Amino acid sequence: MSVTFQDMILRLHTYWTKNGCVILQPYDIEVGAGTFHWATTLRCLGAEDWRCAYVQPCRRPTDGRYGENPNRLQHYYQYQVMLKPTPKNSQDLYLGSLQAIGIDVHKHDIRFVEDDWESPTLGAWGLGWEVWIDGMEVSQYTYFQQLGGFDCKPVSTELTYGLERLAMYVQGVENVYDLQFNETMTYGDVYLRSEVEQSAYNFEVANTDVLLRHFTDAQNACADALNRNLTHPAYDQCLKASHVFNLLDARGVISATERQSYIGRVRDLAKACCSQYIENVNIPLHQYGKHIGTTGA
Amino acid sequence: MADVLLELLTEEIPARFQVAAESAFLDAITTGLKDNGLSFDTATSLSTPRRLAVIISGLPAEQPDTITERKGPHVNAPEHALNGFLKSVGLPKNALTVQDTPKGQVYFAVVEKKGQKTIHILPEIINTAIKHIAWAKSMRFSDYSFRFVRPLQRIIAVFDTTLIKGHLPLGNNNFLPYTDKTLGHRFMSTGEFTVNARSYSSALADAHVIAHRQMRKQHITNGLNNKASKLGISLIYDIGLLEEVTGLVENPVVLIGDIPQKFMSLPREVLITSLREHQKFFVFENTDGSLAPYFATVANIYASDGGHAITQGNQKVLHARLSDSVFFYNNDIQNWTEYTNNTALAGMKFHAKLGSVKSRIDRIRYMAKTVAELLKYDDPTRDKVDTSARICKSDLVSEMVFEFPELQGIMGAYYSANAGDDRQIANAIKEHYKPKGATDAVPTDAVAIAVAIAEKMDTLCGFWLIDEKPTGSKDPYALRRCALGVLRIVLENALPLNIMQVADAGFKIYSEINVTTDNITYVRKDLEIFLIDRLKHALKSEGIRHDYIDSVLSGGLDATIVDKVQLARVMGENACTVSAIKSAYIRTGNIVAKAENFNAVGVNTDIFVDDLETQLYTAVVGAGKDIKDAKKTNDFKRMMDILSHLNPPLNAFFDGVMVNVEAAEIRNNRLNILSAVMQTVNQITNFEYIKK
Repeated sequence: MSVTFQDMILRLHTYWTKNGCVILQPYDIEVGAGTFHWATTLRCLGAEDWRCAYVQPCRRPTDGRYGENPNRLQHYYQYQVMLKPTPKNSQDLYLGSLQAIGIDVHKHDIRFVEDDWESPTLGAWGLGWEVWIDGMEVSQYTYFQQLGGFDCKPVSTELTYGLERLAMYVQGVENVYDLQFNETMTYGDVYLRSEVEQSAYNFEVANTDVLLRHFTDAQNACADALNRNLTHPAYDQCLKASHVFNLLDARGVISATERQSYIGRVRDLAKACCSQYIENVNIPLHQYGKHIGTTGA
Repeated sequence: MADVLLELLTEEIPARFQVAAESAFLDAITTGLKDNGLSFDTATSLSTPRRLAVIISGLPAEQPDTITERKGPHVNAPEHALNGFLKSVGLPKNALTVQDTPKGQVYFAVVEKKGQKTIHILPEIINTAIKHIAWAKSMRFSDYSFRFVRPLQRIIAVFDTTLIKGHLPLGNNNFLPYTDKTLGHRFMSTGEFTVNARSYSSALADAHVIAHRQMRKQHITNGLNNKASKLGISLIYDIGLLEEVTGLVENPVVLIGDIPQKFMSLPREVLITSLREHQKFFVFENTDGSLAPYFATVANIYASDGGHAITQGNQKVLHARLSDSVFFYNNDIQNWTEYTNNTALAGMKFHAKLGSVKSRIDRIRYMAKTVAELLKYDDPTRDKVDTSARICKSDLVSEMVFEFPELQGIMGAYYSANAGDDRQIANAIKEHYKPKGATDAVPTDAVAIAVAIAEKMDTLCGFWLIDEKPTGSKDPYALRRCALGVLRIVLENALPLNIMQVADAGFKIYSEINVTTDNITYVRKDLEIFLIDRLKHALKSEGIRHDYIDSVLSGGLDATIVDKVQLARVMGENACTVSAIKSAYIRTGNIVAKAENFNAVGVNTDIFVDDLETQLYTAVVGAGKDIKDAKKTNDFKRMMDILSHLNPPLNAFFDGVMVNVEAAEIRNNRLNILSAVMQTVNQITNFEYIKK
């Protein structure tokens, strides 16, 4: 029995629904990782309980290989789970999810290998592990300690599964394009053309002048939104800036010295959004309109 | 007498922290016991990735009663001082005694403290110990303020067979109560079970956990060696990997997999780095020393299929990684000629103030050329030096080095050899980074030597010019290692090389890219002092005294450094002689320094009045000639003999002759004899710097 890519996602949704997660849909802005979805970044701040799970398409322009590398893609899927506060049985829940997609934990060597995550762009870090199955890393498991420069209180458990990798492991295929997406179609049938075109666009065509303007536009739009206490739209713009930076990087126009400067600018936007989110989260809903200036002063 | 079991069950502790944490927990517990007056017979520690445990035996059921005498205030002290004291000892005034002390009469109180039951004191000792384990990185979890390396799941605390009642405060009104039940292996055991000090090891073993670290390590080593001998291969021993892997498993199972033949032609270093660094595999050698086509992984479970699925899985991952390596390697072989143009190195920074790696290459070429000239290399060798210097860092832009930065130099050597370059050139690319540490070998080939020295001197000159020197605690650019490297290359190859001349070439070429200073004399001297200081440091372990080095190098570093270090060595072997001469030297120096109207006109043999003057002066003159002769062949042993023969007439002179006589002419003559002694011994080495 082998689990198709599609089925794997459905099983994960079922499993995490059973464990109290709200199943969200992917964020509709280009991001490099599931962590960037507001459901993780913003919701891990503040004190209220929160459990969610979602699939997130991730775009990493520099990883494009024109569809020729069996393991590397500029667009791939992560399955993201957030559990706030950290359940005492977090690890057991994670292992249960592996079993739910058909991995026999008594037949395979599963290890928690030290790996601490950090994101300079988000001003975030946490401690945790890479989870290895038979020598291959399939998930990142992190206990968030800080985000946007703020201590996470309470701490959240973040589970990030590399879906293609996991599926290749479960299905026993060595080339991602050979994955059974569903019963009749392969991963390549669904994505190969796009992957080739996107690689070419990212590396060769994307207009860098336009992109540089977009970066500044996003930065300004973010500031405008923050000035009106509109955190979520501001955060959207912060993510746009971050993605534009990744595209510029893929085009090779960002030097080593400039890189730090761009990362710093995105980080400042992220921090401002997080800071405002924390303030706003304390304002009761019925006063919210006034707070963001959509009702009379 | 009772025993105690303490176990902290936690989520996986990073492998690199476990050894220190195990002993820190043990120390904290034993310290706590001692501080509370609790004696014990034995204290042992155990650890796995998921647990830290301590077992104590021979504890008393109760603390001993204590009687302490507390000193209070002076009898005439104000009321509140006395009240404060009474309160702190909890006694009425009539329970106090008065005693005489040097400062007058003082109140004393005898405080009797009844010993508490051990089981009641332990919780505080345990909680303090848990908080005392220092983690390089720790975290919070849930909404607790408590910090630990990873979420702490259970605290098992058992006194004989009784659960110790207690709990650890976690913050925000949360507590983790102690329990007497633990969990076994995460996958191979189900359910909790009761444990105590005596049953712990065996109960865990039944639950598929080898709790003793040493035993686990031995188990892994035995497994590796057994599998190896069955295949007729031998394990390449890797202590670092073994320690790490011991910290990744509770139930180690060694499994052997194959490396497909098509990958075995990859460079050995590439294979080993992939296998070891990325996959934490052990590797093996054939009887002829070549790498064997097998790897070993240590799984954490006995699988029902004997580990077949696990092995297959690991092999697949390895296959993907090595395929990548083959891909990179082939690309690099194809692109090597382009890499050697160094165009991409122009975009790679060496240091913000020192320019790109490409400009560094230009400087290395210039300085390597300088070394080749100073060492009088023939023309073909000089050409090879220049080529090697030019391409020694071309591999930094290769895909393989991008993936495995630690293979810089090694890959360049392979690519260069593959392109048909002379063997010496390929070798120089690999070896120009050497020596990489105090125990690493130095390059011995002429071409490699020139590039290695040039590369390091470029670093030293550059950082000295921008004043980025190592401090007592920080040396981020590894400049000490750099300096030591240059010195070792020169000494161990016995090179007649003046390092400061190479430095001068460096300063010159840096000035051409406007990296310069107004105070070049000072900078140069400072660098020289740094090098001499490193030399002293390095030779200390050989037993060569630092003052001897100061003495032989008092004129600075020059091309005779090898000989001078040898002289210092020989002086060390003749320390008694040197010391005796130094004593005489000091005595002589004092006499001459205190003398008034000393006229250094030389010695007039005609006005000798005492035989001892004649004997000493004859000895000095003879010594001077002999020293000059010995210098022709650097016969340091002979120089020591000369000094030791100078001692008797010198001592006889001090004993039998009065220098400061009335007769001014005689007196001055005698001072000149002594002055001649000092000048003569200083021909060997500068005795000013020698300490008694």
